[in-house]
Order: sequence, then structure tokens, then C-alpha cells
Amino acid sequence: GTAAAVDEGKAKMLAGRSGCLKCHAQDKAKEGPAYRDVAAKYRGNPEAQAKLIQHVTSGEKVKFADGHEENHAIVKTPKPEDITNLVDWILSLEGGTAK
Amino acid sequence: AEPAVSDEVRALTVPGNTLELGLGGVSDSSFKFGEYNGLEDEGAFLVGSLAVHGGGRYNTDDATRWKLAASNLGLSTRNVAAEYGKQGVFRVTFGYDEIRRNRSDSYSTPYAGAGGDILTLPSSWLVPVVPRVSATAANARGLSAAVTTSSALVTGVLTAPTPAQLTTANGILAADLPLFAHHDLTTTRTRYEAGVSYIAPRQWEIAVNTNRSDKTGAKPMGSVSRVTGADISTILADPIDQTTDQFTVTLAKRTRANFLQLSYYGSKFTNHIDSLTWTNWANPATSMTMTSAPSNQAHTLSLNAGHDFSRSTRLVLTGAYGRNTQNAVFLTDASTPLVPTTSLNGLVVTQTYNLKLTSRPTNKLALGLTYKFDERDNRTAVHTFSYYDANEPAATTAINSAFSAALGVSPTLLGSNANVNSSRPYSRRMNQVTADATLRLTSGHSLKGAYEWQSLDRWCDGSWITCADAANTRENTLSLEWRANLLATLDTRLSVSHSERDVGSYNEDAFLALVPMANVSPSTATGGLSAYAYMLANGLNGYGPTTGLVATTGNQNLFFPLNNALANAAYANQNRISELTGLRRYNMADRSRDKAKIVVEWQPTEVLALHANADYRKDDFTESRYGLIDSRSWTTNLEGSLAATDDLALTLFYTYENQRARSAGNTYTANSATQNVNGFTAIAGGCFPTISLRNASNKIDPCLDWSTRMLDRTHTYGFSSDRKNLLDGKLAVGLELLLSRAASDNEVIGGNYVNNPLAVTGAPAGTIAAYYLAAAPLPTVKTQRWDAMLNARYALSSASTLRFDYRYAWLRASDYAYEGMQFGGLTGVLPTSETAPHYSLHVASLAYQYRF
Amino acid sequence: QESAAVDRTLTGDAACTRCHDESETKPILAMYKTRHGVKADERTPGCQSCHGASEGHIRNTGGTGAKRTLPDVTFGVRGKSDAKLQAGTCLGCHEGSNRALWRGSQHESRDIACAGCHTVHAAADPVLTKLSQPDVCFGCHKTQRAQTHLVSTHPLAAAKMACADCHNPHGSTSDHLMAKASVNDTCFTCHAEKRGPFLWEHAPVADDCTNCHTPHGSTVAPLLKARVPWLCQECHSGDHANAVNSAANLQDGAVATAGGLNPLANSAARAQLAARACLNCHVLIHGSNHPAGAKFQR
Ligand code: HEC
Ligand code: HEC
Ligand code: HEC
Ligand code: HEC
Ligand code: HEC
Ligand code: HEC
Ligand code: HEC
Ligand code: HEC
Ligand code: HEC
Ligand code: HEC
Ligand code: HEC
Repeated sequence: GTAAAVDEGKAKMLAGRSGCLKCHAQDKAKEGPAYRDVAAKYRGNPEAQAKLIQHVTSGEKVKFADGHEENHAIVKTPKPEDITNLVDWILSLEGGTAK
Repeated sequence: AEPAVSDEVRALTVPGNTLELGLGGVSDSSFKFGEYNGLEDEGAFLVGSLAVHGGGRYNTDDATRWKLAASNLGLSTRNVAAEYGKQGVFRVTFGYDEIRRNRSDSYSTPYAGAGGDILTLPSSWLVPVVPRVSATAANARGLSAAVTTSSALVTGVLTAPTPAQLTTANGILAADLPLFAHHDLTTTRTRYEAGVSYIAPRQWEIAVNTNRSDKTGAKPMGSVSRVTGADISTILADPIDQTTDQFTVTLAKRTRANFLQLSYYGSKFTNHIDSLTWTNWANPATSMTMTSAPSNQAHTLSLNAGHDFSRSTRLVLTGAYGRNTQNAVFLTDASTPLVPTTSLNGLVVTQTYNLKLTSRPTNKLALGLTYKFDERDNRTAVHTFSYYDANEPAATTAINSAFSAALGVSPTLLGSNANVNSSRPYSRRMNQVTADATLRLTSGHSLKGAYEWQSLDRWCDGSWITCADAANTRENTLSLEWRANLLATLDTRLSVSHSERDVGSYNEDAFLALVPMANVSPSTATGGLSAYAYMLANGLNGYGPTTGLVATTGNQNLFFPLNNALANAAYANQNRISELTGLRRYNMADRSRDKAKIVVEWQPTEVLALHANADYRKDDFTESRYGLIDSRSWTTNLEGSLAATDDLALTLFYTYENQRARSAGNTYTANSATQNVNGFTAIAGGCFPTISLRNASNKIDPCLDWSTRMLDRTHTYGFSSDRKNLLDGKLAVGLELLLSRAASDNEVIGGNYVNNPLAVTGAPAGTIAAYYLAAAPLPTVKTQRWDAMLNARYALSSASTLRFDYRYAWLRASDYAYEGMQFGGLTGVLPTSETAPHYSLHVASLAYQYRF
Repeated sequence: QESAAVDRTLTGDAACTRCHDESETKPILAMYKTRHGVKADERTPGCQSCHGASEGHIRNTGGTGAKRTLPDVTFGVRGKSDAKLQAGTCLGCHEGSNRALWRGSQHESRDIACAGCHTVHAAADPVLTKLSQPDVCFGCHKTQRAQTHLVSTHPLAAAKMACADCHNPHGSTSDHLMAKASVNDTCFTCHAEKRGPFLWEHAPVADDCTNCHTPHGSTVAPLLKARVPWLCQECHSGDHANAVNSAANLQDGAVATAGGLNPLANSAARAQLAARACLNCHVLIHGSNHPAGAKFQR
């Protein structure tokens, strides 16, 4: 989707309720990368949306800064459109730097 | 240096200060609506509150903190609290609180001085009478024109008032009615408190708290005065001006396995009003004085200690010893001829000891064993007083001389209408043992069983005879409870218990402790028997033989004339004080009690929670023929709450309570040989066809038995909803609705004999002498109230909010008790015009809240 | 419970607050506004004092993506730590004083843990203020909620009094979790004028206030268990009980009008039934200190 179609409030709410913001912030790195950096990393990547949906729904292994690995968190909603919205919102963020 | 933190973090970690200021208004005055909330008056009120904090920051090593909070500043419910301390070292607190209790806004009285302790009638007061009924007998109904202008039966003939009678009546109305003035009766409590706590070396914690509360104002109170042949009542404005000081010191220490706490509690009650004097409205030349609650003190020392024997076994011991004293000077007057001491020198010693052992031998089993001893030992000496009821003058005949000799007073001091009564300092001791076991069957299932044994002793130190109807009662209770998580989302709890209370022997003569003369033989009794000795010898109690009229002679006639209740003259008391044979007082009667309870909590989804429960209780007073016979109650609660979205929460509840009780009595009077009413003999209805048969059977007439069934039902419905984040998160709105409906019914089974007012000398032959009229159910007493509350908060900026509150309140009550308070109501009670509360009003307020 | 190694300082808390920060939907960091958050008081807990060291949770050792390994101690009802473990955590600091009799108490034995009533992360714990405390209790005690809305009540709904003025919810030596050793002692903390001892005691008063009163709310003012005169007649049949009290004895009732034969001027209700009934005359029902007050009239 396009940035205009993103419901920001809904996306943030879902991120909050799913515990994502414990490890991610919009503009600073916590345990996980800043979302705007994720957006920067995937900018122009046509697979981005599908990949991230897969990332936030599958519980695949992720590697933390201290080197340990754990299963990544899963979004707490049964509605695919809400997940898409969240991912679209993440991808819509400006100002990040891709590593 | 303080690390840089974002505003968001600061907002979460640094206590904020708020100041709120606004204005509200109430649309109508209502004491009932404003009963406790300070909103009794129509008009504007100030909304004001404050909360400020200070001291060290959370991330420094400064533990100093202070706080000042004040609320309801514009109302008579204002509250202020302040504290300052260094956490972990000391803390000082101060508090102020005010609460006004609105008693009545419809009370009116002709007395001058309402609010003070001397109430007088203006000199223009005329004693009310209903001239058509009696030219001389005081009659409060004379204050109603409707009554005084209506016809009355005069020797069986309906007669309109004569012009002279009307003139007298109108004169009374014209003189008295304007004297009735309205007074608002309210009481206000103000309370100041202060406390200090200190953590001394070695982890001893010391805390000292003190508070003073003053209660001032006036409340309505009955009173009794006497006129020739009758007792009348006046509802007075009882002035209240009292101070209670309380003081607590606690010393505590806790280590890993033990704790110890020593404390002292003192409470000193001072009544600044000793007595209340009022003029007799039926005889304005005389007045009466009533005491006010005496000043008193209580001091208690207590020690609590706990010890962990192991990680799973713990013992707690508590003990308290208290002394409660009272020594206010007695009031005396002409109606108190014999007062042996000038003050009570009262002393009550209370002792409570408790031992509690708990253990969890395994993870699946928890055991508890408790022993409790609780005693109120009233050590006040017993004294014997003599007085006349309601300031009645002494009779010209002297009391039985054997009694005055026993009292050591001159026979002329006491008239034959005196009461000679001994005080009864009641004491009570409870011993209780409880054992319980909880077994966890599988995860989520558990079973709890408990057994309790309780023994209660009641007595009066120094009384000449046991003063308690039941000197000892024992109660055994067995209870079982089952809890289960039937599903991951469904919890249930089911419990039942049964208890049996047994009275070793119920003593129907315990009331005699009041009348020491029952142990003195009136010189007129043959064989030197006292009333008590005669009763013991003949297996009787104060009610006498349970038989009809039998002509009696000798001691039988002296103590139980004509087989009636113990004669007044035989034990020196003005009235019969024995109760019906078979009456058991419910607080110490044999009782079988069953209770059951079921609770179901279901959370079908994360956002929906449902609750249902029902409670049932049944008490049967198994040996009681009269008095409270049984009572049962059941209650059910239903509630559902839904977090519809993150921003919208809804709750709906309903509570139903149903309580019923049955009690019984008998309206026996004295057996008598009277044969007729003005020469007429026939009774219509009832158990006996003639006056003579009925009068001979007064004590055994089954038609005099009555019983009443009381039924109380209350329904409470509630709804609330909270909506957040409206208007881009700026507005939050809450709505609450409450409806409460209560109805009390009182059905009475039985009846009364009334003499036919037309059965007068000269009435036609065959006129019915008396009727037996069936009792009728009392009008249902009802209360209904509605409350609708809306509040809205609108964020003007991150620091300021506008708050709007609106409430609509509605209440209707009907209660027949108020009928008797109106003009024209009761013969012997001066009307106050008080009315059942009702209101329908709006309250709205707008306030600005600033955070800094 | 708490391992000695727990670092209770802010630095120690960072083990948790690096994830649980201001972004939480519930205000976790607001604890720093409460007494638990006063780090300069060395007695206060760190996150791990209450939730345990929680190594597994920090590294999510056994967790699937859908559900993270829980901290060692979690508070609440469903799916949380065992009630005993929850309470034990708090009791590590708070056993003794008011909580001396927690074990075996009515709440403890039903597995209600501290967090069943206390909200420790919020800046203000609702159960600690008069205004909001009853709502916490009403979460379970719904009958009492309804009772506080009846015509005669204590000022509970008006928030001038709270449940803990009479109850110690943590456990008590007396039945019904009364705050003092007995019901009467509890009542006397506010109604000391009823304490006496009086010259003439009324037996049921010295015995237990709840013989006649019900504390939370009643349809009969003031907080009575039954209407007068029946309340009195449940124990007293003597003296002036010699007429039935029923609507037949009210002003327009069959007895007052002698079956319709008495006209208005003659008929009146019984003083024992109407207006304040027995209390028209027996006013010092809690006891009298007047030498002529044996019948509680003076
Ligand atoms: C316990 C910590 C933690 C939580 C909770 C968490 N994440 Fe992550 N997330 C991470 C880490 C660490 C990475 C980096 C993975 C990597 O670079 O390999 C990551 C990466 C991501 C990425 C980028 C993936 C990529 O391919 O680069 C997205 C998008 C993401 N998370 C979204 C979410 C959402 C949505 C949630 C809530 C459902 C969430 N995260 C919860 C730790 C977390
Ligand atoms: C690496 C990030 C991270 C760290 C560090 C962390 N947590 Fe968590 N915590 C989470 C996430 C993510 C959740 C949500 C888990 C879920 O919903 O499955 C959570 C949930 C919780 C919960 C709620 C558990 C429940 O469901 O009841 C508590 C309590 C908690 N954490 C406490 C702590 C404490 C205490 C610490 C420090 C000892 C800590 N956390 C450290 C990420 C973290
Ligand atoms: C490591 C010690 C410790 C632990 C564990 C602990 N507390 Fe506390 N608690 C304290 C201290 C210290 C205070 C502040 C005492 C004071 O100065 O008044 C306190 C105060 C409180 C207060 C009073 C707050 C107030 O504003 O008056 C409550 C309520 C409380 N704790 C409940 C709990 C509960 C519930 C738990 C468990 C979930 C718990 N505590 C665990 C140390 C602890
Ligand atoms: C049934 C409700 C309930 C439960 C369960 C409960 N509390 Fe409380 N607690 C209260 C109330 C109400 C107060 C306020 C007491 C007051 O104002 O006197 C309080 C006050 C406190 C205080 C501060 C004041 C004081 O009394 O020292 C502490 C500390 C505390 N509780 C700890 C605990 C602990 C620890 C537990 C678990 C063992 C616990 N509470 C369980 C209701 C509860
Ligand atoms: C005094 C004991 C205590 C301390 C200290 C404490 N917690 Fe908690 N925590 C609790 C209790 C009790 C709950 C249950 C919810 C409540 O009462 O607030 C809880 C709940 C939580 C939750 C779950 C909240 C939710 O969403 O339901 C998280 C996350 C959490 N704590 C994290 C922390 C962190 C991070 C710290 C340190 C800053 C911390 N806790 C310190 C007692 C404590
Ligand atoms: C989480 C549920 C819950 C909360 C919250 C709660 N209680 Fe209870 N309470 C119970 C349960 C369960 C019982 C056991 C008695 C029963 O069967 O209802 C109980 C028993 C009691 C009893 C003793 C009843 C008796 O006769 O022995 C009193 C008093 C009481 N609670 C008061 C309170 C007060 C005061 C509060 C608030 C400060 C409170 N409760 C909060 C669940 C709760
Ligand atoms: C004026 C003192 C007082 C106040 C305030 C008070 N109670 Fe009680 N409560 C009592 C007494 C006395 C009893 C025991 C008598 C009874 O069973 O009715 C009791 C009994 C209870 C019971 C047990 C009832 C039963 O039948 O087992 C519960 C539950 C309870 N109270 C909860 C509360 C709650 C919740 C509040 C606050 C809304 C509260 N109480 C406020 C005095 C009080
Ligand atoms: C914390 C203080 C407090 C305690 C404890 C307390 N009361 Fe009260 N009581 C009040 C207040 C305040 C009022 C309101 C009227 C007033 O100011 O006197 C009141 C009023 C009453 C009333 C009159 C109600 C009315 O409609 O006027 C009765 C009856 C009563 N209390 C009985 C009791 C009994 C019985 C107990 C013990 C179970 C008790 N109270 C414990 C504070 C208390
Ligand atoms: C024999 C029954 C009975 C017992 C037992 C009893 N009361 Fe009362 N109480 C009453 C009646 C009846 C009234 C109403 C008096 C009136 O309206 O004149 C009342 C009124 C009150 C009032 C409100 C009027 C006032 O004086 O402020 C309070 C407070 C009160 N009682 C407290 C108590 C306390 C405390 C106890 C226990 C020590 C107690 N009562 C025991 C019957 C009783
Ligand atoms: C739970 C039982 C109980 C209740 C209810 C009760 N009383 Fe009493 N009353 C007693 C006992 C016991 C005595 C002392 C024994 C006796 O004198 O028979 C007593 C004594 C009296 C006396 C003194 C009688 C005398 O012999 O001097 C009067 C008057 C009285 N009560 C009036 C009332 C009134 C009015 C009410 C209702 C407001 C009432 N009582 C409610 C048990 C009760
Ligand atoms: C009009 C005033 C009045 C009313 C109303 C009243 N009484 Fe009395 N009561 C008295 C007087 C005066 C006495 C003293 C004896 C006498 O002269 O009748 C008394 C005495 C008593 C006695 C003690 C008897 C004795 O021998 O000492 C009891 C018990 C009693 N009343 C109970 C009640 C009950 C129950 C009610 C309500 C049904 C009630 N009273 C209503 C005025 C009244």
C-alpha cells in the first residue's frame, strides 16, 4: 500500500499491545533496531512487505546485539489487514539509516 | 548530575502537581441528597483541590519527600493531608477532615433554644386538647384543626363540637401553631490527626499517631414525660458537642523469622453536654432532664509476636489488655429518691488473646489452628437505685416496709410506685477454637474444610442472681468449600456451612437481677418467702402460672394474683418486666444456621468477564416460640464487563437481596373477673363469645398470639461506561447509571380486641361489647433512587484539562412512620412535621485542572 | 525469596527497564513515583526483588515467538505465579504489623494474593485511597456495593469512609476481618459515646452492635436490621406489647377506628407503632447513666 493508506494510530496501538515497543522504538535502537532503520533497510525492496509479515508472524530466530538468539515475537492479532497495516507503517517511516 | 531523560520518562517518574479550581451548582436543596456529600444547599459551590509533591528526585540519593493534598475545599466534606519525611528514617503526617451528616430539614418544634441544652416553651403555649373528646386531657391531636372540628363519640353518640369547644380549640391553634419553627438538624465531625514514625537503630520502628475529632450539632431524639395517667413523648433537638481523642504508640521489630510489636492505644471521649432539660408540653410548669452520653476513656496495651518455625510453619500470638472507665457525676432530681453513689466509678477490663498456628506440610496441604479468648469483664460495682418513671411524683402510700428496711431507708422516702432496681454490669467471655485444612486436589481444584467451636459465657459480677438469659451458649460450625477452575476461563466456588448453637439452660428469670427486692420477703408473705423463693418452690417464672383466671389466695395471690404475672408490689418495680414463657432472645437462643454460597466467574474472551453468585443464609431459632423465630436471606449478583475496544469499557451489574424474618408475640394482659363492658357481654369474633370468658382466659387466649412476617427486597442496577481518546485523544467521557429499588413488607397475623365505643350505658340490648379485629399488613415501605452521572475531561494542553461533571439524582420514599409525625397524628407525641425524603435535582460543575 | 545478588538500584533495574520503559501500555516506570521507587531508601525493591532474577525471561531461553519465557514471578490471577509465591514475595518485606495474620486469613486461603488488591506500578494505588478503595473491594464483594446505595448507610459511597476503616483485609483476630479485636471495639473508634460503661447497660449493646445494626447499608434507618417496634419485640413481649402492632393500629386502621365506629377525633395510631415507635420514649437505647434511666428513657 501507499503511505497515505496507513492508519498510524492503529499500527502503534497494535505494536504496543503486542509488546513490540519493548524492544523497538520508532527512532532509536533498543534491543531491536529502530523501525525507521528497518524502513531504510528495506526501502525499494519489493519483497519488503511480505518478508516483514513473515518476520512478525512466524517467530523465527533472531540474533541480539549480545549474540544470543531467541524466537522473535509474534504480533497479537488474528486480522491479516492489521498486520499489513503495521508493517506498512514501519516501512513508511522516514529518516532512518540502513546498516 | 541527573541524566537527561525524555519528557515521557519524566512524566512517568516524577510526581506531578495538580491544582484544580472551578465552580459548580446544585439545582435544589435536599438534606437527604446532601446527607454526606456536602451538597445539601441549592446554589453555587466552589470546586477546589490541590496535590503538590516535593523532595529528592527518584534517581538521587536523597530520600526526602513531602506531599500536600487537599480536596473538596469548597464543601463541608473538605480534607487536607500533608506529610514530610525521609523515607527509611522518619515521616511526619498531618491530616484534617470534615464531614457533615444532615439529619433532617423538615423538623419543626415550638421549643425555644433548639441546639442548646435547655428547651423551653414560650409562655404563650397552650396545652393542646381535643375539647370534644376531653376538656382537660392533653392531646397533641388538638394541634390539628381537622381533628378539633370533627365530631366525636360522646357516650356513644356522634356529637359535633359545641361553639365553646370550637373557640377553645381555635384558641389553642392560634396560640400554638405559630410557635412551631423550622430547624435544620445536622451534625458535623471535624478531625485533626498527626503522626510520626521513626526507624530507630536495629530496625525498631516507632510510630506515634494521635487524632482529635469533634462532633457538634443536633439530631432528633424522642423523650418521655408524664401527664396524669399517660406517658407522652416529645421529639427534641438533641444537642451534640463531643470530642474524642485517640492516641496510638507502636513499637515494632521484624527479623527474618520473627516479629514483635508492642502498642498502646488510648481513647478519651469527652461530652461537653451533660444533660438536656425540656419543658413538658402537657404541663408547662414542669420540666424533665435527660442525661447525655457520659465522658469515658479506654486504654489498651497489646503485644503481637510471630515466629516462623520453618519455612512452612508459623505461630502468631497476640494479646491485648484494656481498661475502660467512666465516672461522670450522676444527675439527680425529685424522681430519684435513692442514689447510693454520686458517680458510677465504672470499670470494664477487656482481654483478648489469640494464638494462630499455620502450616503447609506439603505443597498440597495447608493447615490452620486458632484459639481465641475474648473477654469483656465489667467490674463495675452493682448498686441499687430507686426512681419514679418519667418524673412521676411519689405515691402517697409507702413502698412495702420490708423493702425499705432491706434498703435501709425510711419507709416514707419511697412511694409504692417506686422502682427499686439494681444495675446489671454485663460481662462476656468467648472461647473459640478453629481448625481448618485446605487440600489442593489437582491444579485448580481445592477443598477446604473447617470446624469451629465457640463457647460464650455471659454474667454480671456482683449481681444477686444470674443476669443473662443464657449464661452459656456453645456453637459448633462445620464448613466445606470447593474451588475449581473448571476451564481455563471458568472458576467456580461452592461453599456450605452448618452451625448449631446450644443453650445449656435458658433462664427466663434472669430479668430479676434488675429487681433485688425479689429476694426480700414482703412482710405480707407467709413463711417469710421472697418472690424468688416462691417461684423456685413452685416451679414458676415471672410470667406466672400459664393458666386462666383462678381465684388465688395466700402467697399465690400475693405474688401471682389471679394467676397473673409477678405482681409489682411483690418485688418493687412499677411494671411487669417478665417476658412471655417461650420467648428467647435471638442473640442467645438455640439456633441452627445454614449457609451456602456459589460463585461463578467466566472469562470467555480476553475482553469479556462475567460474574454470577448467590448467597443463602437460614437461621432457625429452634426453641423459640416467641421472639424471632427464623430468618432467611438470599442474595444474587450478576455482572458483566466488556473492554469493547482499547478505548471503551462497559460494565453492567444487578444485585438482588431478599431477606425475610418471622417473629411472634402474644398480647396477653391480666386475667380478670370483669364480666361486661358497660353491661354488655357479647364479643364478635375472637376465641371467646363473652367478655367474662375472655377476661378469665387472658393469659391463655390463643387469639392473642400474633406473628409477623417481614420481607425486604432490594434491587440494584448499575451501568457504567468509559470512553477514552475521543477527539484525537483529547476527550475522555464516563457515564454511570444507578438505580436502587427497595420495598419492605410487614404482614401481621393475629388480631386485637377492641371495645365497641357504642357499647355505652343506655345502648340497645344485644349491643356487641367488643370486637376482635384482625391485624392488617402494614403499607409497603418503598424507596427508589436514580442516579445518573456524566463526567468529561478535555485536555486543553499537556498541562491543563477541563473537567465537567454532571449528575442527576432522584429519590422517592414512602414510609408510614412519618404519618405519626404530622399534625393530627398521635395523641401523645408532639408532631414535628418531618417528611419522608424525596428529591429530584441536578448538580453540575466545571473545573480547570492544571498540572505542573 | 530475593537473591542476595539483586541490584536494587536504577542501574540494576536497567536489566528490565531497557525493555520495559516509557513505551509500555501500562505505566511500568510510574513505580518510581511511589514509595517502592525511592531508590535512596535502601529497603525498597528493585525489579528483580519482586519478579525474580528472571534470567530465562531476559534471554527468552525457552520461549516460542508467541509467548516469551515468563519472569520468575508474575502477578495476577490467570496463568500467573502461584498465589503463595506472589504473596511470599511481598511478605519478604511486609510480613508482620498489619499483615501478621495474613497466613490462614480469609483472603489468603482463597488464593487472593496481594496484587488482587494492590496495583503497585501505578503512581497511586487505588486501594490506598478512600475514594477508590471500595471499588477495589466491590470487584469481589458486590452485595456490599448494593448495600452502600440503600437509604441508610455509612458514608461509603460519599468516600468519607472506606472499608479498611472497619476491616483489616490482611487478616485479623476477630471474625469478619474486623480491624479491632471485636466488632464493638471497631465501632467505638468512631462512636466512643456508645462505649460507656453505663450505669444501666442494655444487654444486647454490651454484647455486639450487630445484634441490631448492619454496617454496610439498610432499608431501615439508622442502619438497623429490622424496623422498630419489631426489632424490639423480637426480644421484648412484656409491658406495652398488649396490642398487636399492625396497620389496623395506624390512624385509619380498623383497630384505631374500632372497626369504623370511631370518628376522626377519637381515632389515633399507637405511639408504640407510629413515628419513632419504641424510640419515641426509650431513647437512650445504648445505655443510660441517669439513676432513673433503667428503662433507657433518661
Ligand atoms: C524481545 C525483543 C523483541 C521484541 C519483543 C520484538 N522484536 Fe522485533 N526485532 C528484535 C530484534 C533483536 C530484531 C533484529 C533481528 C535481526 O536484525 O536479525 C528485530 C527485528 C524486527 C524487524 C525487522 C526484521 C528484519 O527483517 O530486519 C521488524 C519489522 C520487527 N522486529 C517488528 C517487530 C514487531 C511488529 C514486534 C511485535 C510483535 C516485535 N518486533 C517485537 C527484537 C524484538
Ligand atoms: C529483552 C527484552 C526484555 C527484557 C530485558 C525484560 N523483559 Fe519483561 N517482557 C518482555 C516482553 C517482550 C514481554 C511480553 C511477553 C509476552 O507477552 O509474551 C515481557 C513481559 C514481562 C512481564 C509480563 C509477563 C506476563 O505475561 O505476566 C513481566 C512481569 C516482565 N516482563 C518483567 C520483566 C522483568 C522484571 C525484567 C527484568 C528482570 C524483564 N521483564 C526484562 C521483554 C523483556
Ligand atoms: C524489598 C522490599 C519490598 C518488597 C519485595 C515489596 N515491598 Fe512494598 N514496600 C517496601 C518499602 C521499603 C515500602 C515503603 C515503606 C514506607 O516507608 O512507608 C513499601 C511500601 C508498600 C506499600 C505502601 C505504599 C504507600 O504508598 O503507602 C504497599 C501497599 C506495598 N509496599 C505493597 C507491596 C506489595 C503488594 C508487594 C509485592 C507485590 C511489595 N510491596 C513488595 C518494600 C518492599
Ligand atoms: C483484600 C484486599 C487486600 C489484599 C489481598 C492485600 N491488601 Fe494490602 N492493603 C489493602 C488495603 C485496603 C490497604 C489500606 C489499609 C489502610 O488504609 O489501613 C492495604 C495496605 C497495605 C499496605 C500499606 C499500609 C499498611 O497497612 O502497612 C501494605 C504494605 C500492604 N497493604 C501490603 C500487602 C501485602 C504484602 C499483601 C499480601 C500479603 C496485601 N497487602 C494484600 C488491601 C489488601
Ligand atoms: C513491589 C514489587 C514490584 C516491583 C519492585 C516491580 N514490580 Fe512489576 N509487577 C508487580 C506486580 C504486583 C505486578 C502486577 C500488576 C500491578 O499490580 O501493577 C507487576 C506487573 C509488571 C508487569 C506487567 C504489567 C502488565 O502489563 O500487566 C511488568 C512488565 C513489570 N511488572 C515490570 C517491572 C519492572 C520493569 C520493574 C522495575 C522497574 C518492576 N516490575 C518492579 C510487582 C513489582
Ligand atoms: C479478588 C477478590 C477479592 C477482593 C478484591 C476482595 N475480597 Fe474480600 N473476600 C474475597 C473472598 C473470596 C472471601 C472469602 C469469603 C467469601 O466466601 O466471600 C473474602 C472475604 C472477605 C471478608 C470476610 C468475610 C467473613 O465474614 O469472614 C471481608 C470482611 C472482606 N473480604 C473484605 C474485603 C475488603 C475490605 C476488600 C477490599 C479492601 C476486599 N475484601 C477485597 C475476595 C476478595
Ligand atoms: C462501619 C464498619 C464497616 C465498614 C465501613 C465496612 N464494613 Fe464490612 N463488615 C462490618 C461488620 C461489623 C461486619 C460483620 C457483620 C455482618 O456480617 O454484616 C462486616 C462484614 C463484611 C463482610 C462479610 C459479610 C458476610 O455476610 O459474610 C464483607 C464481605 C464485608 N464486610 C465487606 C466490606 C466492604 C467491601 C466494605 C467497603 C465498602 C466494608 N465491608 C465496609 C463492618 C464494616
Ligand atoms: C471510621 C469511622 C467509623 C466506624 C469505625 C464506624 N462508624 Fe458508624 N458512622 C461513622 C460516621 C462518619 C457516620 C455518619 C454520621 C456521623 O457523623 O455520626 C456514622 C453513622 C453511623 C450510624 C447512623 C447512621 C445514620 O443514618 O445516621 C450508625 C447506626 C452507625 N454509624 C453504626 C456503626 C456501627 C454498628 C459500627 C461498627 C460496626 C460503626 N458505626 C463503625 C463513622 C464510623
Ligand atoms: C438493642 C438494639 C441496638 C444495639 C445492640 C445497638 N444499637 Fe445503635 N441504635 C439502635 C436504635 C434503635 C437506634 C436509633 C435511635 C434513634 O433513632 O433514636 C440506634 C442508633 C445508633 C446510632 C445513630 C444515632 C446516634 O446516636 O448517632 C449509632 C451511631 C449507633 N446506634 C451505634 C451503635 C453502636 C456503636 C452499637 C454497639 C456498641 C450499637 N449501636 C448497638 C439500636 C441498637
Ligand atoms: C437482642 C435482644 C434485644 C433487643 C433487640 C432489644 N432488647 Fe431491650 N433488652 C434486652 C435484654 C436482654 C434486656 C435485659 C433483660 C431484661 O430486662 O429482661 C433488655 C432490657 C430492656 C429494657 C429495660 C427493661 C427493664 O427491665 O428495665 C428496655 C426498656 C428495653 N430493653 C427496650 C428495648 C427497645 C426499645 C428495643 C428496640 C430498640 C430493645 N429493647 C431491643 C434484649 C434486647
Ligand atoms: C409513649 C411512650 C412509650 C413508648 C412509645 C414505648 N414505651 Fe416502653 N415504657 C414507657 C414507660 C413510661 C415505661 C415505664 C413503665 C410504664 O410506666 O409504663 C416503659 C417500660 C418499658 C419496658 C420495661 C418494663 C418495666 O417493667 O420496666 C419495656 C421492656 C418497654 N417499655 C419496651 C417497649 C417497647 C418494645 C416499645 C415499642 C413497642 C415501647 N416500650 C414503647 C414508655 C413508652
